[in-house]
Amino acid sequence: MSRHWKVTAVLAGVALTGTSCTPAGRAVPYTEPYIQGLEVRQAGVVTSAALGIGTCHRMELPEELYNGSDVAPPVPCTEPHQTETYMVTVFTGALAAHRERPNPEQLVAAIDKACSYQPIRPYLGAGTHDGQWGVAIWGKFPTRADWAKGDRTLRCDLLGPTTAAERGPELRVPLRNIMRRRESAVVRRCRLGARDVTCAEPHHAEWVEPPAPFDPRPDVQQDMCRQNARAFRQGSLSGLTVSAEAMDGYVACWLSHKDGRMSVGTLRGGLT
Amino acid sequence: MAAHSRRALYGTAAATGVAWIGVMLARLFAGGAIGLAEQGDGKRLLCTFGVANARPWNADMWRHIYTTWVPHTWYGETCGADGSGEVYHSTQIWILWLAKLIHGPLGLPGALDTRAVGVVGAVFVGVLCGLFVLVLPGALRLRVLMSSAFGLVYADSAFAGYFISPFAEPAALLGLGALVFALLLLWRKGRATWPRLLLVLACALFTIAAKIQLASFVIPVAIAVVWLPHRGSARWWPRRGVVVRAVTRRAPALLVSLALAGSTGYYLLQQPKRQTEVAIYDVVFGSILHDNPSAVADLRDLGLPPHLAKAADTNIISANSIARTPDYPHFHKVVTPATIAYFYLAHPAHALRVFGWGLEGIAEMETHYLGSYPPDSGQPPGAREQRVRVYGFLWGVFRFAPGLLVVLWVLLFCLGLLVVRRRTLTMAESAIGRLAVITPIMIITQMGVVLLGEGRIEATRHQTYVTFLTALAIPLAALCVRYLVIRMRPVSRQERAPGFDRHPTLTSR
Repeated sequence: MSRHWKVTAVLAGVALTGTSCTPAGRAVPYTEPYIQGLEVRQAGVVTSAALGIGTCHRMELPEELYNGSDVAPPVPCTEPHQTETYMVTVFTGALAAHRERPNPEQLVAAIDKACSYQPIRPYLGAGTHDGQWGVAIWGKFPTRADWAKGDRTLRCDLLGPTTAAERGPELRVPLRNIMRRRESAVVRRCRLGARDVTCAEPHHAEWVEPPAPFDPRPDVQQDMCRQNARAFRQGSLSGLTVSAEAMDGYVACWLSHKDGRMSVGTLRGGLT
Repeated sequence: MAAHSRRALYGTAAATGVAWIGVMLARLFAGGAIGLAEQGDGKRLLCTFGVANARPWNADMWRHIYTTWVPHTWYGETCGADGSGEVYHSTQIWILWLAKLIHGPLGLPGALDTRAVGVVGAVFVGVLCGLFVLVLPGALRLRVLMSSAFGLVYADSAFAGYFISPFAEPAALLGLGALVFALLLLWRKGRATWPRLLLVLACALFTIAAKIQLASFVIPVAIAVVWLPHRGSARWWPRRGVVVRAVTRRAPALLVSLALAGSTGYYLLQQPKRQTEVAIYDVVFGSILHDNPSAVADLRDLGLPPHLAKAADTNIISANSIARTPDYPHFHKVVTPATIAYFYLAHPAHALRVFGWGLEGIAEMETHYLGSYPPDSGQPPGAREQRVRVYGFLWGVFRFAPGLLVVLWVLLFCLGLLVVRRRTLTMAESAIGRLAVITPIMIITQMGVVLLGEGRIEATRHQTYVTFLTALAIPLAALCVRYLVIRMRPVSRQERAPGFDRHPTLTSR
């Protein structure tokens, strides 16, 4: 199984650098294509229904995170953890009818379909001007013993972003309604030079949600981005500068300090 | 051949053993510890001790070794084979237990450190070298030379790294050495005895239970133990026919063979099913369908739909693995190890192709994608150590022409038969011939099992034991040649008689 870990690591790396900020191109409520920017993580899986929505799970080792099942006791969401459960459902159909647990690949394929995107943004408390970044869907399924006893619970978690490569993905705050709090910097997208980082890390610019629809005229791009940035800030842009970056089919808007200094945290307005 | 006293023999054996402990410790630790990096499956044995590898999340575990393991609580299925939660059984756990015992006194960090495994391994290699001196025939100088040639195999860069790794190979490699010792001991008096048969059984079981793939040794070991009749069996049913007598005189050996086969079967049943599932997938999609213009026809012969050909060269966890599709339950149901064995029998070209991959894997000798050094060693990621590389040097011949491996195996087998048949040799010397005959059988059966179970995937690493036995074959063949060329002088009838030992040892009492 040597390649197992290699492939898993690659998948994990790709997923962790992913972003939910695939733009819809207009300032409208999030639609499913928009949310598809969330990377779907497989590997794993579940536990009992007793571990309900809002529970946090510590899987500090890759061997634990990539394992299909997780029956470790949950931890307080204010302590270091890797995932938080946003949805609990059950396996259905022919797969669920197996008396012996199917192989992990079959279960993961089912997780891809079952762990829905829709509940995620409401769970995060995200509004029109909040874009989550660096979080991924991570499923867990029952152990073989629990499956044999009839447990078909499918746990859908959100995996936190990696802010320190040597520690891997890690959260220290609850994700439920996080977008309404300043702590949301940990799941917002910022830039340090040309590198994407979370806004909880030192950065030069912050992604303005939502991006603007594409227009070839630079002055129009700038106007649209300023308009979005004011809504994002819920106030004036004093001391800040907005830059527009034409992308493939949309215009990315970035907000930064006029003096070019680095900052930590989010510039989003109206947070508690 | 000069006679020597028992004291000299024991002294030489002890000195050889101590010297090889020193050699192994020096080659593993002098200039900084070296080992073998893992691929993520290293924890399946050590996690049973309640420890986890102390390494950063983003550690490149393929490129560097991380020797320290710290206390950790594993929940549910997180400690098991390939994330399945199924317990991975191996006698390596005993080696690890010994390593844990000396871990504290050695002052190593964490709760367990694979460097302690290296120390245990070095000691056992020394013990084996000392034991070889006792059971090998001939003058002390020759015994030490041959014993050191065996020790040098353990010390070679292709194998030594395993001793500082979380893999199960140390138990298997040491078990293999112990099995060679036990077989020589069994044969060197010309008759089998219960204690010696039981020693062979114990060594064979320890070796087989280290790695599931070594179950192939049941066949050669069974042949080995029934080769000679039991001591005193000439008196058993003296008036029966030749065949009945031959079987009767080997009844204890047959019982031992049955016990070995039964125990191995039980062990196989205890192995994680997930491993078999992954291996079968690899054989079909990684080997049979690899670069295969007749993939559709071959799939049909396997009872599979032709559209699965698009999954060629995937593994079970690939993004486009058929394990994630509705086709998989049918695949899982239809393709079994027996199906694959039948497929190769019915498709000799495929058998030949996979045999070729196997030879190339053995000719490579060592994996090049796993590093030898810890991250703070100053060595570049993935660097391989080459502190001792005698056999690795000789392997240049096989890298140039892998087919010569077959020549060596056949040559060894023939030399062994000639030595066994040579009437001018003592029973102890004939024992070397018997080992030379059995070794190629061990090689071929092991290679067959590996190719059947793993195909071309990681052929070099999976054939570590074939490579190890092939390396042993080189000094073994040289000794056989020596007997055939030099030992022309007829031995007396008394010397040839079973039970006679020209050089008495503890083992001859």
